[in-house]
Amino acid sequence: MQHFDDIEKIQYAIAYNRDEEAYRSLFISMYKSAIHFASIITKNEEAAEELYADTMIKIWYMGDKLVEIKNLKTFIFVVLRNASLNHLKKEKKSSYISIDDIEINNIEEKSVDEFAYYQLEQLLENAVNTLPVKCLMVYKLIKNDGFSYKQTAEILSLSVNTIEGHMQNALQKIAAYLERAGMINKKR
Amino acid sequence: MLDGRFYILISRKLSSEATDAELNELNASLDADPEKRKFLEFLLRPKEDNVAMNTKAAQAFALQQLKIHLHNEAHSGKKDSTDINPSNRGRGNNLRKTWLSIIVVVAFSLSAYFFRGYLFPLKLGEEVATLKGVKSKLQLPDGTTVWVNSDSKIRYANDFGKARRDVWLEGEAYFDVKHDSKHPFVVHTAKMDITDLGTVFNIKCYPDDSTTEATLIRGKIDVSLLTRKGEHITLSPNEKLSIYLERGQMKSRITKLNELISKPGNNMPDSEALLIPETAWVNNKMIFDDNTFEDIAKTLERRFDIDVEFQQSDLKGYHFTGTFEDEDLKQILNILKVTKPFDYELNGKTLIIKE
Repeated sequence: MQHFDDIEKIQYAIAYNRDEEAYRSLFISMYKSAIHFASIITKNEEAAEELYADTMIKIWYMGDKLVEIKNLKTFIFVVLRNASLNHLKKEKKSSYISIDDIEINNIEEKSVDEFAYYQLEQLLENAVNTLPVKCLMVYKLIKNDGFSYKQTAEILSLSVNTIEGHMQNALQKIAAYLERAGMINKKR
Repeated sequence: MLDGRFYILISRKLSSEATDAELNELNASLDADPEKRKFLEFLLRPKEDNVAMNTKAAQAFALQQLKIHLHNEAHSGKKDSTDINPSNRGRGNNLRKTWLSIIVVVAFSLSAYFFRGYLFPLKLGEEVATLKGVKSKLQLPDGTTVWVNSDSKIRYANDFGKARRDVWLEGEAYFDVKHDSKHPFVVHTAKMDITDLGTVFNIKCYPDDSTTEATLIRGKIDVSLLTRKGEHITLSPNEKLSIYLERGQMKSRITKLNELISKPGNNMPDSEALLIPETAWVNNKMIFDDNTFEDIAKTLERRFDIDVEFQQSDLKGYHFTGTFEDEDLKQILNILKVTKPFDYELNGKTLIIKE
């Protein structure tokens, strides 16, 4: 859980004081995670940027109603998820799209440099990129964005057990990948 | 301990869902198996702070602010509960000030967008970028000197000098690396990584060029090609490595530099090192050695900040040889015109080459 009490302070500042500095810091602090998240769904970074901007505008215009939100970060991701799926619906002109329908691009594996430091970063990135979509999203939301099981479940509309299953799967696959790359050895 | 259980424990730890009992269980299994500890350490490694991402975020915010203010302008005068400043009436001045500052920020952001990353020559902490027509000379924290050519970007790592010295380059730069065998100096480009082993070298890797080149003046460098895992090429002084695409395949070629310039024995003194075509730019010279008009045009584009268009494409194949130093663009073109038949038209920043 990263800086949740800070987020609450920011939330109050935006809702009651219409504090633009607080709003700006919220926008910037969530930018990277939000864009990555929306990009997985829309496959289009430009669209992800617009969707995030629109989501944050909605947040601003909630005014003092904003304090009623129990968990601002999760809420923003949920709104963003809906906006992204709606965007996909318009793009694909179909009436029903869920997270299940998202395919992942074949991400080319980047080759790995011989020096230890660079190699680890790249290996880990490669490993994560080979995960199936849902595992990838769960892994990123939990590991990179610091959401809890419950929050992740809310964002992706899944059950908490499913979330843990996906996370377990993701970690297992990453470990297997690192093993094949020779970075770790499994005890027999 | 079954592996499945291990991953569940890690998962719970990462999401802060683990109970004390579970954390103890996890620690016990990490103690029992050092490979498991290794795995967890990989996962928990801190990621590098992304300066470029924060700039992007700030620009995105500025654009979004414009949207909000436009929305407010459209609704100004109406009593609107969604207005940013509820007690707006007494604050005309403030709104105007904010509006002006938004315009400035947006103009800055938009111009940055149009330059697509070619920001004004500035130091964003650890990154330097040069516009077309601009060169830059830097000193890195370790005493290494780098000359950066026009239209290039160079960045060095946050922890530069701690264990290694990493640098990322897009464009062209000439390096005089401070010798330090304990801290490998590595230049990362899109197509290859160059490890310096105590040297002076030039790297040319502009994204819109079809070829990437590394020219070694003095010392030794090791080049690893990113598209061919594990393949390393070691260059000796006076050698130039070119990477290019041929029929969809990445090829490499090593050429010996003009033997007339190099001395017998391996080390070229610095003044002569800057007389060869590959490094002449450092002293503001342009040396063309049987280069095509197409390649020359690219060099002119970067040097004079222009766009070059060829009206007839066979003009691109003209070859020229010559050295230029202080001549301006028109003088250079007039000199080239003497040896090959062509005409040109210069309109502001666009140069048209025609018959």
